[in-house]
Amino acid sequence: MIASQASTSRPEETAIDPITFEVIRHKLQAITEEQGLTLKRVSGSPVVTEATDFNNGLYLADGSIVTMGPQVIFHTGTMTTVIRSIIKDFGSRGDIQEGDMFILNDPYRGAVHQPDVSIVAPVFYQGRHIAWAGSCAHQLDVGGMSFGSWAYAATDVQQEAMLLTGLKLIEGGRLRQDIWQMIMSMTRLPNYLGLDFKGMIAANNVAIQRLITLFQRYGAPTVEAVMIGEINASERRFRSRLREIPDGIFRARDYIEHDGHANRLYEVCLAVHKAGEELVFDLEGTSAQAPGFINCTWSGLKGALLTGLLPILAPDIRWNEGVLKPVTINAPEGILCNAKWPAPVSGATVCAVWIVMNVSVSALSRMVGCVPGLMHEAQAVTKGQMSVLTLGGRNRDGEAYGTLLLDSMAGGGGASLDRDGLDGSGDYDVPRPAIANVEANEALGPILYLFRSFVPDTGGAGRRRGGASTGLALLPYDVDGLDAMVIGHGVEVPNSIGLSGGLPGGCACHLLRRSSEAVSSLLQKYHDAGSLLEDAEVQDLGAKPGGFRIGPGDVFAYLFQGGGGYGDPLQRDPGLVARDVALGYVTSHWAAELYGVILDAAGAPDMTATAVKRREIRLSRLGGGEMKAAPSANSGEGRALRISPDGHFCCACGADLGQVDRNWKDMASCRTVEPILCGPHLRLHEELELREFSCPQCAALLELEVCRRDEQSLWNIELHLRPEGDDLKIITL
Amino acid sequence: MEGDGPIYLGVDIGGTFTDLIMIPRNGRMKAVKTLTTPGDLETGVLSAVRLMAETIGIAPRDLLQRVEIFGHGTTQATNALIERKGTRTGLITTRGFGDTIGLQRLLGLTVGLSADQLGWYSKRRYPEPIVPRTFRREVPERVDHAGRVLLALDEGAARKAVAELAAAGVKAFAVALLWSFRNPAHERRIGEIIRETCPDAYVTLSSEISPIIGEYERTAATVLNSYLAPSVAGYLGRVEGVLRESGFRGKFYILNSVGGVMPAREAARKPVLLLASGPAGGVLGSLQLAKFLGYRNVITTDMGGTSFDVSLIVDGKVLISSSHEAGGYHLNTPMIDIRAVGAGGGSIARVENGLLRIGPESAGAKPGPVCYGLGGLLPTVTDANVVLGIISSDNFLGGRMKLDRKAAEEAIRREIAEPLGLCVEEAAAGIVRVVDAHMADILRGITIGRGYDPRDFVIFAYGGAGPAHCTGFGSELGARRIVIPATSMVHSAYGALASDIHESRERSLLMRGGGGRNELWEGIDAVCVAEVFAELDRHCLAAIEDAGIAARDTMLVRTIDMRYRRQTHDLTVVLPPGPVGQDTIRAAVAQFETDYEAAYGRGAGFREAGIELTIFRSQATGRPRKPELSGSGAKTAGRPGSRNVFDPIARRWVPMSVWQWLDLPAGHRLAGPAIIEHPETTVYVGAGHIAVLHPAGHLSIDLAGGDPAGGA
Repeated sequence: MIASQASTSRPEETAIDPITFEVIRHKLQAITEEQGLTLKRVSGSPVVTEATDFNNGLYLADGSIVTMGPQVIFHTGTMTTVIRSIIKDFGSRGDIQEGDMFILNDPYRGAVHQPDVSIVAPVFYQGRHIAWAGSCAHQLDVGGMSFGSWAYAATDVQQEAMLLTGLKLIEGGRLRQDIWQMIMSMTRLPNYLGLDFKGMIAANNVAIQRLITLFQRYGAPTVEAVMIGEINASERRFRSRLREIPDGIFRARDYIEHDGHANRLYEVCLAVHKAGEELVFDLEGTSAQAPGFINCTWSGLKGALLTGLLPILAPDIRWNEGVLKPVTINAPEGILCNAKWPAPVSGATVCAVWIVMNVSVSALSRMVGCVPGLMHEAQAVTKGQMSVLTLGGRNRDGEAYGTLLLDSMAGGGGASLDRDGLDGSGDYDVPRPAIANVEANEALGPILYLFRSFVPDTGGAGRRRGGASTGLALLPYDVDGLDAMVIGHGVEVPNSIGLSGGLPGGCACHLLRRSSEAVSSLLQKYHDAGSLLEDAEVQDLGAKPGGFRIGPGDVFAYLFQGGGGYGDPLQRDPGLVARDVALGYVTSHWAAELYGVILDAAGAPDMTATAVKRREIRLSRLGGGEMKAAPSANSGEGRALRISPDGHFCCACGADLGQVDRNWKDMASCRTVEPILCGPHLRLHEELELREFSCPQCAALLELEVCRRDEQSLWNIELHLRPEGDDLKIITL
Repeated sequence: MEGDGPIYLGVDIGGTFTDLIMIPRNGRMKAVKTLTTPGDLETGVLSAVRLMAETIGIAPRDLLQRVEIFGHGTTQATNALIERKGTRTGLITTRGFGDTIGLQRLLGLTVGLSADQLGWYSKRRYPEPIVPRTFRREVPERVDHAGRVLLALDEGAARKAVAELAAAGVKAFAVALLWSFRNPAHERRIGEIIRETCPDAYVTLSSEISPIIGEYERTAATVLNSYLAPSVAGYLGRVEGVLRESGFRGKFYILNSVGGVMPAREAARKPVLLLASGPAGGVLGSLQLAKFLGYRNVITTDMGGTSFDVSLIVDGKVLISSSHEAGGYHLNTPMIDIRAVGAGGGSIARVENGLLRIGPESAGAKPGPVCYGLGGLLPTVTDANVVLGIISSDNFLGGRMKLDRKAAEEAIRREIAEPLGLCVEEAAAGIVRVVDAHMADILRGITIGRGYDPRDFVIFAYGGAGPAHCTGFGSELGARRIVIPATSMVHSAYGALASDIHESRERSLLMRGGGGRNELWEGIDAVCVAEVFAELDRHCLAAIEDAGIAARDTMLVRTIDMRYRRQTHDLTVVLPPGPVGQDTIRAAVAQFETDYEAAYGRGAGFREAGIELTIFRSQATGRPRKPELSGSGAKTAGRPGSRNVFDPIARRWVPMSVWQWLDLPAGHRLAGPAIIEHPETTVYVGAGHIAVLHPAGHLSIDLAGGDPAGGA
């Protein structure tokens, strides 16, 4: 449990004048920024420089987070676990000394997965250990059975990659050449690894120097007091944020297909118990750990839950240990997202961690969606899936070539109450996303892109549309061929679920078209995702094809998930639907099927035909029943589930959906729907189905649930209103 | 008093004021400010000229007839972009890549968010598109990384695309194809088709405006150029027309964002190069001043009401960056590297959870600080200065504006002092100390972050709020000397007047050297490099000659961007002058290694990986002959006034001398703590600092108590 981990002794928060406090606080933040800049400059890996898959931070001597950079959020929650593991292993022996730096990538000791290598450095001043500086970056290859250390065929952690359990890479200020050599001999890309390590070491050195300057100027106790004060300030703000939210249980569930060996389906169940100023994340009900590499350890679980929590509950609070203090995680050992050694975990970041992030976003969005002051932060899931593509072989000049293509960040963003999802949004765990130019990738390696563009109808339909996703196709160029490896998920699971009645974004897909055609003819034929999807000879590779060869004339293509929609699509302004069609994000066929909007020859909505079509869709939702109420005017705050002053859920039309401490789904109209009714890119694993919950009176869509066929629907919002409190006042508008 | 020799004018049009500066042959600078006339800016320019003529007692026509060079810094391009008031533009791309400009490499959705706001996902938005999807067309064609044609241009499709866009009301075209900078044939052909079909439409080709690798940034530069060109050309034509009608016969130069001025005709063709023309003026003015005063390394700081703009002059050159953001888009055209931070006199102070926070919210010009009495209720940095007595409530802007000190005190008491349990002056001093410390952090970031030691730099401070804070942030930074230019209140206009003609041409080309045990320069074809530069030089020199500058007044600098292979960060290395040969290459490579270690630490580079040369650039600077500034000529210092000021560092009230800048004689030294007032600004000289007036009217402040009159 997070709450119980921060326990070692530390100086008390002493009185310090607010001016000096703010001056020092800003300097700590500036140091963290400088750490990030330093790492980025030295590193040569596109994963660090373009995709910013790294993070840096400053920590108290006990490992508590003081500052973190705005890069991949997974890491920072976990670097503190790395530091605590080092403290546990080395501290007890008195083996943490000035001038040391430790390297660790063992997922059972704090790393999210093996490629995420952390280098952490204790900061000493006048002989006293005062703080830690840390850097963590995703490495292109840390050895093991597969290139990129994505060990999709592994059955245990020993096969996957080198395991650095916490080694003194630098001892007393000197790089240990023996360790360095050992590490470099285990990777396929020693040049990249060497540069990234140098970058992390340089970043830590910068942080140490700057911290010491601060200690000299203001005195170490003052600086420590500011660090602790910052943590306490964030804790106070976070607790007061939690007090604004009614007590209750908020649940979410998501699935992942294929464990590397077989196309089995796994699920992650999350129940967020909110009581007073505390949050408990409970993972009870999650599938047992998989025999393949899709699991994650405690560390990944924690990083993923935080990734959902920070932007939704604490966007305006500085992210540090204080935000973690009111949070407890309960997870049985041996489940998919708290795997027991020696389960394989090299795919954690793109598999179990991703799913945990999705359920964290969904459950917390359901939670803040109940609070008028916070409901703008509630979001449908952003690109709930990841596809990893590595390419390896020989470059044009005969040198070894290997890359991890990160274009798959360009999925669709989740929609929210007052805006559409972003078309091309980046992944949720990356606050400042970026992908490389096509020209940069073509210059770097022997590949040629055929297209990289938005794919229509990939954004989940909704009153606010989910963001459109992109797709791309490429082929080996100037060389005989390349070894590709693809691992992903979300090709048969719509992970980007909608919120408040919005539909899920389209699924991902991985395609291969074998041919012996010339490049010019392939350029003519395949210039958008549609041209490949409609090709009769294209192979659907499924979620995790693993390694395969792409030779001359072969085209590989992949599409990513679109964002989830927000609200009933039938409530979307027909003018906005017409604009989406004009811009090409939605086709006119799906405008009619999903939004019930019929366009005339000029592309403007035909209001009469639209009204007829929408009524038809509403009636079908009620399974032949009659509508007893008119759909509410498209006004108000736009939430599907509202709360009446007498403590009941109700639809916008006024229909009663039961007490807030009962499952509202019992009162809703329910039917199972085929995926094709939810968009052309929705596909389902054989064990899954889609259930639609609508208002029994007006047929407004309240939720579209992705669910295992043999499972009960999820009771997703259960409020525990305190009889004496103001909860009702808070949550009714 | 100005004699009858030639006159040089510089004008900068800001949001509120139009600044005009004049330097006659004797170097005695004069400046006037008039209100900017939105929607009809040329009228404001003309009235500034009239006011100047009146000030020196001659007829406007006589003044204009004597003007040799009229330099103009304009925010016209920037404003048209921000307000999305450009021309309807159509974009033609390689088929399959029309969404490049919409995807923006995903960079667009975090534009304008500060580091603090990056985690606030509900604030993410893509910028309003310049070219919506409906105005984009894709044509079948493809060129590879080596410039080889893989798919010939489908001319029929190109014609159809052009016709459709024209029918949709497009008046300007942008053509940006993949790898066009390696082989521009397809772009050129599409350009011809557009000119045949729509002879009146404006066309920009990406291979011409920005022949650099990276299709998103190149496309953005191309699109923005077409989007802005018609309105910028129209505007520049109107200004020049008004001036010519009124007697002006000299040269009309426009300040660009790259490093100098360019003839108006050229500027109208490349408005994308004007996007930072406003702040660039101050930096280029500083560059001229630095040369004159003999400083090689300068941090320029422009602190106004809402923003703090910082840039560096290193070894006598402004730093140029080839990646920056404008109007929500990212460009790879070279531009002076200016970092703008939301911090200024209008930044709002508040207490959050018992802690003092300042900015990034700003009260701006309206309602402005509380003391302006224009309705502002939240205390700002300027209010703190007024409460401390640093800014006089009676003599602000030379007494033209009375400030309400009581209201400022009240706001700071209510919002800051009481919540923090401090007295009002302690709270105000706290605001000043925090702001100064933050600015010092920013300056440290931009110097140390680039491998420079801030103590090796002189700080130039200008902008309305800069002189009150510069000794504060300068001391905090550990700087030794600050210069407040005589032109500090019209520094951008001065930059427009004083800057050299600047032309640059670049080309993206990949060359490799070294690798394994070879020397890094081995394998680089010197003949090929020489050919590339010969071509670039020729274009630059021709343009300078067109601008009417003699070859002997022109200086040429060649640079190559280099990096270690597998590292993504380039360093720009200056080639030794003279013909390009094997020796030049070796010297440049050696320089790269030295610079790299300086920037990133010993052993940071991976030598064994070899080296890559990526961007070749020639920059020609033509020096029009202009007089140097000289001082106003006061003979003896008057007696200073005095008032009580709360010293924010010592945290007590101290009686301080109050001097009038314009009454100080050259060479006058005074010791802080002291206030120096100027009709447009207030200088605060801290305890232990010594200020000296330079003969040309600049104020030098030595923070270490040394001799600020000494050389660089």
